[in-house]
Amino acid sequence: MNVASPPPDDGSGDDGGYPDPTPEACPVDAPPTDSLVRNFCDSVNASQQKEILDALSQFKANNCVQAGIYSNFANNGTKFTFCVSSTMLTKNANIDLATYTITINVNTITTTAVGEELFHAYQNSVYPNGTAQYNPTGRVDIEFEQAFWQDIIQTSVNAGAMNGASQSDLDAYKIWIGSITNGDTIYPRSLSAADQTQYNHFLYLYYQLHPTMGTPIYLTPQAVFSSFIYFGCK
Amino acid sequence: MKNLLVIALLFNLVRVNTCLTQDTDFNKPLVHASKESYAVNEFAYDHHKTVNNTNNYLYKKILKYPEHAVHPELRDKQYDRSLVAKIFYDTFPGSRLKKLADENLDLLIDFDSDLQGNVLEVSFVFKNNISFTPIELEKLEIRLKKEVKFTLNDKVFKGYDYVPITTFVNFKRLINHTADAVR
Repeated sequence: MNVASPPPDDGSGDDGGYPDPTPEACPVDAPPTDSLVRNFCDSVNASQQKEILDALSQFKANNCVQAGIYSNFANNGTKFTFCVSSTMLTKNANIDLATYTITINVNTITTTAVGEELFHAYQNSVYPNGTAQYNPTGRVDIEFEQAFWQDIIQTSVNAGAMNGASQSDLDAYKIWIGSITNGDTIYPRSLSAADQTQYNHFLYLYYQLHPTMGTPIYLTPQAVFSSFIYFGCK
Repeated sequence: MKNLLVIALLFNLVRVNTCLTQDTDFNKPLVHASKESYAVNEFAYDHHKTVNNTNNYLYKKILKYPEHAVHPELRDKQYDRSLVAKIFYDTFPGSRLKKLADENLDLLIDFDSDLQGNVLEVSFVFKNNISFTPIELEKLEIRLKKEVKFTLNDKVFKGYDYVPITTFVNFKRLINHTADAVR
């Protein structure tokens, strides 16, 4: 291809409309990023990266509590490595709390899957000495607390924690969540003794639905309350 | 001719009896509305009862979740809440709505939808002391099944047999026309 040569500089400062012969380097498309992303595993392709970034954007836009958790990590400089897996057998995602690496099932890259793991990271920061101590004993408590948290912030009609339960148990759980949130208008900052008993009842049902997680040790859901108190959400 | 008269007489007797057996509350295990019959189950938690059309069967099943099913989010199962509110306004005259609002309790509605978003079954759950009548819930059921349509996230519900969706309706909020009357 022939390119016209610029005329010699006549010293007038007028280049005659020719482009600057030494332009700044053209901007290249910077890889998309997010405050919480340390990096992606090599196996995560561009499309999956976008899905993960979209899920993170949605997470922080969903509601006050999730925005609070997101900002808390962002302000603390907490970052995560994101990987995907096509061979996860029983879970949609998991987090390695030693390295803050979140691995997501390639078929379920959603805000919920990402959000679950971010909440597990938040739990890890709330419980004294972290939550690794509750694996395996107490794992079911940690998992149920996460599901319980999702159901409160998404409103009582969702009831994901009781997936697989009988209709009457599902309904009882939804009514109870509606009760402790005053009809989905407040975030509970504690539970009365009666409601803690009810919480333990549903925790036990959750264990029955997920018996491989081991028996519950009936932890108080302190990370849930912390997320409602600490970020000032009503 | 005599046989015809006997048949007509029997037919009328059945009709009269049907009308006579229409129930006015949900205080027994099986109640009858104008056309439909409902099974009533006392509910273990907090003095509630569940009302199901006797033709319903999905509520008796335990939904099998496909492998790798994610917990659906609210936006994965959308519907027109204002339409549900309208059905309630149409079903309950103002004075009746006010009485139910004074009771200030929620009505929980469990929908079961096919994957195209069509309502297959409707169940009602409410506190024992809410004064619904079988005719009222029958009217609600007919219109909810006919008019409500869900927009489901195909990706999330892939592999489901049917999709359970719950709605709470608060009568106090209905009468105040607040946006979260149906939630």
